[in-house]
Amino acid sequence: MSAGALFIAVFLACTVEAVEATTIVLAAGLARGWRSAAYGAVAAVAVLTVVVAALGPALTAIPTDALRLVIGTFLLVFGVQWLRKAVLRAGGVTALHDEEAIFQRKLATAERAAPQRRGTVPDWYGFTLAFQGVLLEGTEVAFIVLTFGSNQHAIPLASAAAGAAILLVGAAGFAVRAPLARVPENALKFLVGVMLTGFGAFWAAEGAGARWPGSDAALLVLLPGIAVLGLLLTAGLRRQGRARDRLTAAASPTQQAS
Amino acid sequence: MGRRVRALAAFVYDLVIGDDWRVALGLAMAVAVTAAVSRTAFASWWLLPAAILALLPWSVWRTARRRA
Repeated sequence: MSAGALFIAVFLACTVEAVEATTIVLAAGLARGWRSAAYGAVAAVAVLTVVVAALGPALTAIPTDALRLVIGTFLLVFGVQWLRKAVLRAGGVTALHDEEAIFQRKLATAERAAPQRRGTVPDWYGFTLAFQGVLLEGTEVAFIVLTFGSNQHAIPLASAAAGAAILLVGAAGFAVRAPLARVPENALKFLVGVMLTGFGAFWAAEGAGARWPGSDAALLVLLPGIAVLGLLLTAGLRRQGRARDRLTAAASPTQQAS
Repeated sequence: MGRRVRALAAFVYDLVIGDDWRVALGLAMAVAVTAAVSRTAFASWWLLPAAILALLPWSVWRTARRRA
């Protein structure tokens, strides 16, 4: 895997999580004040940085095959779940992640809570809301940075990609002071699901002792193959949904007549 | 304290295993089979792509059928 591919994979994955975290921080900032929300977000980023800094060197010390087997398996399971969710959303089976609706719900809840000062934090509710939001969404970012980075012995590069995504999305969210509803979140999730699944399968198989035909070039078949599978499943679900809608529409006049 | 540990365990489960534990189990088993076959003279690289090809559509259709 080249440095460029590693950067793109981590950047895209972290963009999805950063959009979700930004929605929560914006709701905390607008409802409870920017200072407390900023403290919460920065504190969560600091915790995650410590986790990556502590676990990163420990992971890279593990023998490559064992690391690839364990990390690859986790990444494979994690990736298939992402892809599954993206396919179900794109196929209309489950609702798309609506940042605007999530933002309005968080905002309404945050506006109702009573203010409470703790130490240098002017509003404890705003702090914890932003802290929890960034920490929860950021855990997936840390997971991706650690898995991709340790496998390629490039944790600093993976961290830089994650940092770039967080800064870019955070700055965009702060500039518009509204949830980034226009980011094609599900398409990104689909793409990242394909990459996590592909790299996870590749590394897990190598760690288990398998040898891929063509070595790294196998990824050029594996990744598009998984993408095609996801697209076919999405198309199948949409077709099924349309057929069900037609049946319901056809049945409605009959029911009305009887 | 117990509540926090349970919440953390639930979070880790949701992060790694996700909505369908059967897929996670199936993939873990496929990795184990790959490791076992790799010790023989047979090719084992195709086992994980085959597992994805079987498990992902199965899980998606199961969920779609349940929600229909």
